[in-house]
Amino acid sequence: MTTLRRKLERRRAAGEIAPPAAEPDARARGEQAERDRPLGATAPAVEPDAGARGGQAEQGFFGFEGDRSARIARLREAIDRVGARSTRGPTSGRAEARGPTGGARPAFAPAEAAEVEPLGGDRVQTESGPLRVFETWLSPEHRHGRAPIAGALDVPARTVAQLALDASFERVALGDMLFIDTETTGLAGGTGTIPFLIGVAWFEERALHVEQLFLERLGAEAPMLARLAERLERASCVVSYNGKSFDWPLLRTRFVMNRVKAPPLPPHLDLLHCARRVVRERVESMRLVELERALLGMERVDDVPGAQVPALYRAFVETSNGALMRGVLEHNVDDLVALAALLGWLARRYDVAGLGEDPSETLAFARVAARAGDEARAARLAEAAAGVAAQEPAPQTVDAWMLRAWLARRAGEVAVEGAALRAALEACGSGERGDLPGARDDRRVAEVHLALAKHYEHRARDKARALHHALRTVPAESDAACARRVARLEAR
Amino acid sequence: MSELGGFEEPRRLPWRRETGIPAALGRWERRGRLRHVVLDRTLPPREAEYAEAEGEGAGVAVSPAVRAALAEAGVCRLYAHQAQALRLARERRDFVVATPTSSGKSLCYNLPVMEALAEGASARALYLFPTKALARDQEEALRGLLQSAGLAHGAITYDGDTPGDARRAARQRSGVLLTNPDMLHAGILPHHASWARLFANLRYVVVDELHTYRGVFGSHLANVLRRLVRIARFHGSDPVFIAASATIGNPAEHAARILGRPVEVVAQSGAPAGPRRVLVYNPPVVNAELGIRASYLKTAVSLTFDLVRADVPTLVFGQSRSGVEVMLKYLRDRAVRAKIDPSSIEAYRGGYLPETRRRIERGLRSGAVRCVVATSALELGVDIGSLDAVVCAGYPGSIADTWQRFGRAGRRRALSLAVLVTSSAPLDQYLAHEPGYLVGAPIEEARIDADNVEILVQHARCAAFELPFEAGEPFGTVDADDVEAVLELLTEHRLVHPVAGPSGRTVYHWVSDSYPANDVSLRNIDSDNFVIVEQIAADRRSEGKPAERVLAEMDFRSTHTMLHEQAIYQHEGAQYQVERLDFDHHKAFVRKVEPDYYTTAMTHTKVSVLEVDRHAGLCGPGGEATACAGDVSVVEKVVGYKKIKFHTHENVGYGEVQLPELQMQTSACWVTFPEPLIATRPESRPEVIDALRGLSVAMHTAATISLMVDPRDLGRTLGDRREGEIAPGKGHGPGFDPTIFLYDRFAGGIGLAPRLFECHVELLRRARGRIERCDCREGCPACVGPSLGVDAGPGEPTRAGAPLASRKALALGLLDAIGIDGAAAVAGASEPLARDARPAGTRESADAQARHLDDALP
Repeated sequence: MTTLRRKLERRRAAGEIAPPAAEPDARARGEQAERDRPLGATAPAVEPDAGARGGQAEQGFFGFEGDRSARIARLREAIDRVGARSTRGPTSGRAEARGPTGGARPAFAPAEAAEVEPLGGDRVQTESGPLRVFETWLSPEHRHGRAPIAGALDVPARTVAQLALDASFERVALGDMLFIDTETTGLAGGTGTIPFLIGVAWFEERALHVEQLFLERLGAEAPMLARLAERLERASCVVSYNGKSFDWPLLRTRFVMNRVKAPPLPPHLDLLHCARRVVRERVESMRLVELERALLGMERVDDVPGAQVPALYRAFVETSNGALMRGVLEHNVDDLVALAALLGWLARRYDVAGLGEDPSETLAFARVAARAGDEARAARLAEAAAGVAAQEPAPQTVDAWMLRAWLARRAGEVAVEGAALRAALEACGSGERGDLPGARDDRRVAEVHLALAKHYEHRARDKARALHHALRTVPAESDAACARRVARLEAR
Repeated sequence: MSELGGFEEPRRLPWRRETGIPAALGRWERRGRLRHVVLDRTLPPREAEYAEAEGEGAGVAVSPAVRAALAEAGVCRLYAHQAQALRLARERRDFVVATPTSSGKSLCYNLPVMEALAEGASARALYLFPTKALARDQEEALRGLLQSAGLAHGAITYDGDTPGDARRAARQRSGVLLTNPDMLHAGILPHHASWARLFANLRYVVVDELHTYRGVFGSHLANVLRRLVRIARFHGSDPVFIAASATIGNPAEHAARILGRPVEVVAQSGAPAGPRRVLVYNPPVVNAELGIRASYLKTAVSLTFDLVRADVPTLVFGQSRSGVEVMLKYLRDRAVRAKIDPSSIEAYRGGYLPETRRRIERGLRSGAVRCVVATSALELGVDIGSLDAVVCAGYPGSIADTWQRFGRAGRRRALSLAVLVTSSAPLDQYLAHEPGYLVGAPIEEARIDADNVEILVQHARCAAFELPFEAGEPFGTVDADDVEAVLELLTEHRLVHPVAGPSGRTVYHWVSDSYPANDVSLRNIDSDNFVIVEQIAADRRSEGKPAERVLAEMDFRSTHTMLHEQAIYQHEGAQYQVERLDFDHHKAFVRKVEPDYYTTAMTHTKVSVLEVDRHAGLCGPGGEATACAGDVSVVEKVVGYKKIKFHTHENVGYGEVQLPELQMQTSACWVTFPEPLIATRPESRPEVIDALRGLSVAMHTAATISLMVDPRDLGRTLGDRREGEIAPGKGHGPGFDPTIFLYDRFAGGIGLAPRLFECHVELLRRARGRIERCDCREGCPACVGPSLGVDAGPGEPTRAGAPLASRKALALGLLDAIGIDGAAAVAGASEPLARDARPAGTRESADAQARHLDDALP
């Protein structure tokens, strides 16, 4: 019988498919893009070599894409550019020695010694083996964009508890919080995605101490995990960005994979969720770099895009060229610093919210306060949001009054609820003023009428007014429900 | 004799009429319907065989809790096979249960699992079912059992529809996890660290419906299970594997291949069964030239309706959803005409909720529902209730699947009826002419090739993602050296990175930014489906704008023949023309049309032999032929298409197609007729070639039925060009040696061709039998296929007015020449393909048999 090895060799020898050129990653992304594009939309231009397949259908080689060499070459060039830039020194040209057609020689062959730059950092001996650690200190005056990072220390625990919608933070000593952010070999998750760089940071006095634990050698994760466990043990809480669904599950997986008992995780403040509740409508995306640009006025220079990180690490693993990691390490420090800055920014804005400025942000904070159970603050912020926006009727004004009415109802303030609802209806531009641009939304208007109908029927007990509004509740409720309501009122 | 005993409230109509199966049979006889019955066999009843009767009572004592649960489910004594299963499980032996439908198979695995759960709160079991619906059904039944046994372990189905909370519960607490191979492959194994509790305590892995895992799907599953074993070992468990299968010819061998380990077989059912009468009904020929028969759907409807009139609760299976809809409509129409409540005829569609099923079951018991029309036995899941008759409209594709449908009817004691109505399709006609296969010993063999390189490499990627490979580590039955070859390839592709591990051995770590399981679909080797987009002309509803909607998807392979430009694509009874095929973006744009023709693609296939693994001579009076097995390279190219008029099947035009070639390396079995043998024939060379092509059609059909494969999974071609690279028979002198190739239509092969080589003599004999016994005059799809004309190939001289009728005779003559003679076809029943003796009925010609049956009936 043919042995597997011979079959593999024959497949390799079969025709045009050159194995080293294959790049499944690029293909996976391409497919993703293909799936995401709505049907009928114009497809992006196909790479120029698509027609030059010699009449052979792409059969895929073991599910790897066969001949997409042009795209792969471009990807390689991108990697090399990053590698070159991140060296930032007279040696920068060397990283390009791999050349744009890096596939021409086995990619895993170690680069020549002369090309390789040292990684830097410190090699620390731990109980479970050597560990590469990078340490950075940022002074108490350091700012990330406009935001002073030490501002995170001035945040009252109660504010954090409200922003996080988690009362347990009220008892947390925020001075001992641990910022955490990882760089990984991929974004897919699962046991094959490895955090190769675990960045942690904490305040010492008012300076920020950044410690980056780096996986210099695949498989040698134990020292890194042990150090992380130590840091977690000392921390009062963990602050991350999307760490609840990404970083922490991955880290927990690494503890299992390395048969190390995972430490209990202290309270976890995920700033993605906190920030999303407040600024979702203001920013184009919820990516951290986008937030720091839009909120903190921070423009990173020569930042390594997160999407390139996995490829850079792979290149590092294959070549041991420390230059490839420099940009990644900086990117990770920037992310950690951004965490501290963002936390400070959110807390400051929350505490000063309602003093003019952006009504949508004020309204968002009002909602946060309402959900966190701080009803006095919520009511104040809702009124502020409605008041600021009232000059030009806007959807937020309706939302703000509706929120105020909801709070009043919970507090049993019937008169306040009625006033807020009437103001909401006013802001809808209902009736004759319905021609105001952007103010009319039939469903929203009906919702206000529905709330008013309930208010007059059950609380203000004004049958005539209740009936007036009850006739206008479709489409906020079904025709049948509306008919029942009207019949009930008429029967009284 | 009356069948009314089964009804609690038999329906009475105002006039007197006979009821029960005998009444329906009598009606068929009076109306001359039984003339078309090609098989009528009454299978004797089977007595129950209990464990205690064999003196094994002591060995199968179950814990009181489990016993209580069984009692609540109405089980007081275990059947012999269930006790045997329990004993094997207790000995920690892996086994496969291959007993008929409704023999209490699921208890064979539920019992040991319940015992394990009763022993410890941490014990876990994993159940795999081929469909979501089956898993959900079993979840329900199992939960009932666990509750009766007082076991707090949950049973949770984990599939794409499981909500987030239930997912967490499934990971943390569920004693039994029910899922499907796709979910295990893409959702569980790549995240095994989150499932540590399951894998660390895994006692049993249950693989139900094992016979459905064949070909590509089976080869994938075998590799998924290799990954599972590897992960379980990492977490410190070594589960026992229990498989359950329909009755097939090779349950032990198939289970061993899928599970990657030797297994015991539990094949002797101890469950009782009443007598069962099995009929195969072949609708009469209405067009002898084309071998077209009366509509099998209408025939099935008519037979079913006679059963409904006779108050026989009947289950009807169609082949497709549209077939089911048509039959449902016809049946209800007839019910209305006969003044029977049309709502007593129900459809059963996949994905029905348990409550709907309960309602139908209640209706069947009360007599309010008399007939259920369904597509697939798998969708039915557990017992739908007690039915007396099953009618299959069309051959379900394999004997095992047919019996799975037949098994849905049947009482413990009383007579039941199973009818198969065959269509004009080749496989159906094959079975209509060899109906004995249906009731004889199982002849079908499920085949997989777990070591198919394409599939193996894909799963090695997934396995490397899940857990780094260490040099020297085997992968299931793949030895360490081969695994290393694969790892070298992965290294070359920069997917893994070799590092010296702590033990000094190389460890291959995953370094790619990808999630390999997402690129691997278990159900199809190609992940590149084409989307079929309908372009809808502007009308009022679309507000004056042309609209698009996605009609369907099609796998990459079929695209070439089904979706080339100008092709007529048929979808749910409507016709669409392909206007544009966007090959780069995998889209076909179609528009609805109403043509009076359909299209069929003309494919040119070139097979080149890469390596001969085995060969054998076939000697006969006319010369010597060779059969070989080995690896080939196949290039398939669609060169054009024909337009075929509906109903008349006239060829009304040709068109050209420009599509890339499909190339693959795969395994093949081939038979070469050397040049000297051809030269001795008195007929012209093109005639001989045409006859050989016909022979290849018959061989293909015979191979398809023996190996339970979709006909499309087995490629067929005749090496018919005078090109050195095609003619494999080096050593047979220069020139062209016509060669019939049968090849696995999957890159790398899925284990079909090597098996075909092993039984090539029997395969040729069966092909011969098929040709001899076919009723058609000059070749129909059911035997040698319609003639493409002897002018088939360009460059071949055309001979107008060639005596076509001699085509079948010529094919037989060629078989004579290589020693495959008619006598041998009968005597050769002991050849490997039919290791088990065939029933006598198959030796008679169909006509004789039908006559014989007519005489035999009362």
